[in-house]
Amino acid sequence: MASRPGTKFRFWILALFFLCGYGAIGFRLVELHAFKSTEFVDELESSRFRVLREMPRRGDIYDVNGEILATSHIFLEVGVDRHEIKSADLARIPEIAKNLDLPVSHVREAFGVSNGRLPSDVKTLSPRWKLLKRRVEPRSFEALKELGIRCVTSTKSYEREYPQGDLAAHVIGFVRKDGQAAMGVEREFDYYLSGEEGWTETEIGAGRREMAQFRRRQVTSTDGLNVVLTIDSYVQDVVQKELHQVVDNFKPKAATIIVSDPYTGEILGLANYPSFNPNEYSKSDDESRKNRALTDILEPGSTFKIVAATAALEERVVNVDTQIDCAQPIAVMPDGYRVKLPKDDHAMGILSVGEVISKSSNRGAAHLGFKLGGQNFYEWVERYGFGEYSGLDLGVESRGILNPPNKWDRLTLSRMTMGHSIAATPIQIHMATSTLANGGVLMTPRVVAGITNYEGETVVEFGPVPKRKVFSRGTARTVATLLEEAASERGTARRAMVEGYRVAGKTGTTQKIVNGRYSTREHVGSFTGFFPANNPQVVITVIVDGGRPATGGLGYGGIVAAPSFREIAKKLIPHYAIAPAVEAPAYARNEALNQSAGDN
Amino acid sequence: MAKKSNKKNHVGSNGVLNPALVVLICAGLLTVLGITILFSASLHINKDSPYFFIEKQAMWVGLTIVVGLLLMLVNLDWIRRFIWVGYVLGIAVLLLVFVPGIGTVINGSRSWVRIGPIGFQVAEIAKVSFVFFAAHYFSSIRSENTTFLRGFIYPGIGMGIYIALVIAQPDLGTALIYVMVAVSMLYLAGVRLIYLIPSVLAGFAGVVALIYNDAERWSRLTAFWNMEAEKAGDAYQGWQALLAFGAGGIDGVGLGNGRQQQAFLPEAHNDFIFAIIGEELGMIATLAVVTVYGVLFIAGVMHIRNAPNTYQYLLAAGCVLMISVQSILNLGVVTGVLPTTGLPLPFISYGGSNFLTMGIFVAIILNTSLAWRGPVLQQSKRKLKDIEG
Repeated sequence: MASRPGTKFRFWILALFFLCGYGAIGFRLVELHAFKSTEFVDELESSRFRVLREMPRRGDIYDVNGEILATSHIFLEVGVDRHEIKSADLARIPEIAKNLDLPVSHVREAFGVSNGRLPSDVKTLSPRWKLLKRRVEPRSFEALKELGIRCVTSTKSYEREYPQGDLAAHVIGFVRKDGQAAMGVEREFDYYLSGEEGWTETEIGAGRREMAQFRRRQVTSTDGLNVVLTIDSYVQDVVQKELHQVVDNFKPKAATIIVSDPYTGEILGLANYPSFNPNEYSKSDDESRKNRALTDILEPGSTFKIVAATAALEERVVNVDTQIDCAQPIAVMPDGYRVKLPKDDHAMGILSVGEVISKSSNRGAAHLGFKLGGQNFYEWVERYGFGEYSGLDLGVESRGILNPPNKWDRLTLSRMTMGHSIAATPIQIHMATSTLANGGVLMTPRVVAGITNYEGETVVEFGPVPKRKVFSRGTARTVATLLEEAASERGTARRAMVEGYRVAGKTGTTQKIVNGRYSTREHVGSFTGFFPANNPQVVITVIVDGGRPATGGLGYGGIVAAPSFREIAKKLIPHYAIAPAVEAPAYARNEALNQSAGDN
Repeated sequence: MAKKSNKKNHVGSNGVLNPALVVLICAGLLTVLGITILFSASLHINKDSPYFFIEKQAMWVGLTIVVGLLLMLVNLDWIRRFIWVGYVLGIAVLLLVFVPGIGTVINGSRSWVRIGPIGFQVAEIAKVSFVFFAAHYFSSIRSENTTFLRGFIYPGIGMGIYIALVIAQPDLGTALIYVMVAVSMLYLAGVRLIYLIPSVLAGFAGVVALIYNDAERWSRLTAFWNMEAEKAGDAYQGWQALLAFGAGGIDGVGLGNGRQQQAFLPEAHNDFIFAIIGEELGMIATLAVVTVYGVLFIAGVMHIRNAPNTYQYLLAAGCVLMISVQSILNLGVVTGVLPTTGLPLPFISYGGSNFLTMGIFVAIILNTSLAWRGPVLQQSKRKLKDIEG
């Protein structure tokens, strides 16, 4: 090869140079394929593999009539994937803006347009995704979707909505923005409402788009079931309006009204003041979100005398006509201990047992307690459901305070009979009255009637749950008659009277403990009762904490609470078509017979 | 490019396979692999018609075979008369991209000329006249190859015009191929190393200085040094290619199961197709591909050694170099040995202009082998060697 330019040497050097190049690449390939494989596969797996969650639709909450109280609203978050923008999309910006009801300049900005032009390479735009509008109705997005603009993307999202605003807020509760059910039925029945999340094990490409062809496993989501409440929107509305009235008139610190069906324990309406709007839960404070019907504890006061009366009558230690001397300030207990009795509001003489209840004599009630004995009375209080959870499925609940007799002092029995030295929740007081209304059965209060699926078929039905038989129907009738007397012209609860109807109820007024002493100014006024007394259909309890009439005077139960009973009752009469009392039923007319022969 | 069925006719009298034919077989194997892997690599791009890229590439392969067969009929010595016409034509073609309305800017480079439905990269086609020019010039100056002016400066300028026009597009990757081929041919032509080595070093320093002054190119280069840290930024594509090799392992994830081209590797059907081979077919296939390129090169070298004269020697050498330089640069880039420059992998990558050019080079090598067959058959090997001295 000497005749050619260059030499053999040059030729082979060059050839060797190239072969070394190929050899180096070969070594590099072995390194990449064999030695780095594990590391690279790990990195790829973590960047590609995704478990995509599919959120189920949360079930709705209905009232007993099928009115929607809570629902999940689908909306779309519309954004722009700026790396997908085509130059042809620029001309359609006004169209996009019109569809989304946004100013054109806003869309232009989101698209990264400056001086009417896109950057030369849209892939350099950062961040890649820009939000155009957070809440877009799916229906109004349809038109935009049909334009077929690839860079405009949408993400489905659910938002909890409470169409009735603050109606039954404490019963329904709310769901936080992050999807966590926070309180009320929303939380307690979350199991039914939430549904099951679906998921897909898949791989994503750059741009976080799913690559469906590499899907591994998929479980579709199951939408949540609907909860049907026992709450009746009409009753609830009546209750809330009345609560407003109470607040306007008496400026209380807190107030609670409960309306229920005595025979089934179904709560028809339940409202507390202060309240909140679950649509704007974040604007409310803890105090207003508290379901006071279950959590506030208060001394029940005179309404508690029902317990002593039913116990004494049921045990037959007295009858309605047994005479009790309520004038004496000192009583001798069965064990010989002399105890000072609480004062009555005004001096009373010798009263029958019936009068002790209808006139609400503290001393009389104490005498009933003495006749029953401490342990016996305590057991009666327990049977009435005081000191135990009511069982209403609305979350946090208080048991109240009920000390066993071995922790009592010498005064406790005489004070407990008049509703002091014991603390109860509004729902406990309410259910005690309900027991009287239905003839002696303590029911478990309920707010949920059943669970339905998306087709409206009932999946689960919750029936009445009786706790126990507390006393006989005869005793119930007798005491009801006495309470009817209380809610008459002659009784303490005359403001609860409804014209043409027989009302049974009992007022209660307790002094609040302020700075460790009973206050003479701050009172909890309450009224609990049912009507019609001859054929009880609704039980209503009104508790007003710290309210005072604007005209002056104290917040006695008969003044701040009893009128609300009447107002609510009047509005429920047409709703439930409650018949007026034409005349007293037969058993009432033959009261004496009933008593001498015994009931049941 | 001739069909493989011609194989038998080209087996030499001594029963040894004609090296030029080995070049053809290697090119054929790579083309078949390219079409196969292209199907998987391009499937995601045009979902409406999955055969879009395959059809286009197949058309170019067909065109290349026709052009190659025609080239086999051309007498390479006769064509020397028109070398200067070809040289000027090459420059004219390179200038076409700067004509408004014809030149098309793609990815920031003015490398495409589009006339009607046909678009092609001028720098690819110009490679042919570049090789012819170099081979002709060096063989015509004969013993003056060691002089400074005629042996180094003149051919340097002659080739430099082409290189300058390619850089002006700018298409630095292709320019690098031109430079490496030019330097190799100067070296083979016998230029004195005292001229060549300092010029190469100076050129290298100049390129580094140019890149340093271009913020974007500099950051891409530094990203290459620090690939792992820059894997989400400038080194994204390069890093994703490396991951593809790792994902493939020894035997690959299987044809059509590759993920990287789906979303992570832009240009997967084009410059980075080797990474897809690595992912889908694994180390066995990638080493095989490198081996085939190596065999192609060795066969080319064996073939060159039989060249009857300097012109044909340098012509065939230029053709082999054009193929091999491009393959080494592309493989080096994709495996992360070299910084990223956009270059197709010969015979495998999608793209008509490059495939046609590579096919023309193979056809020239085959043509020379036909032209040289006469003396090889008529004279004994020993005699030929004696003539060569």
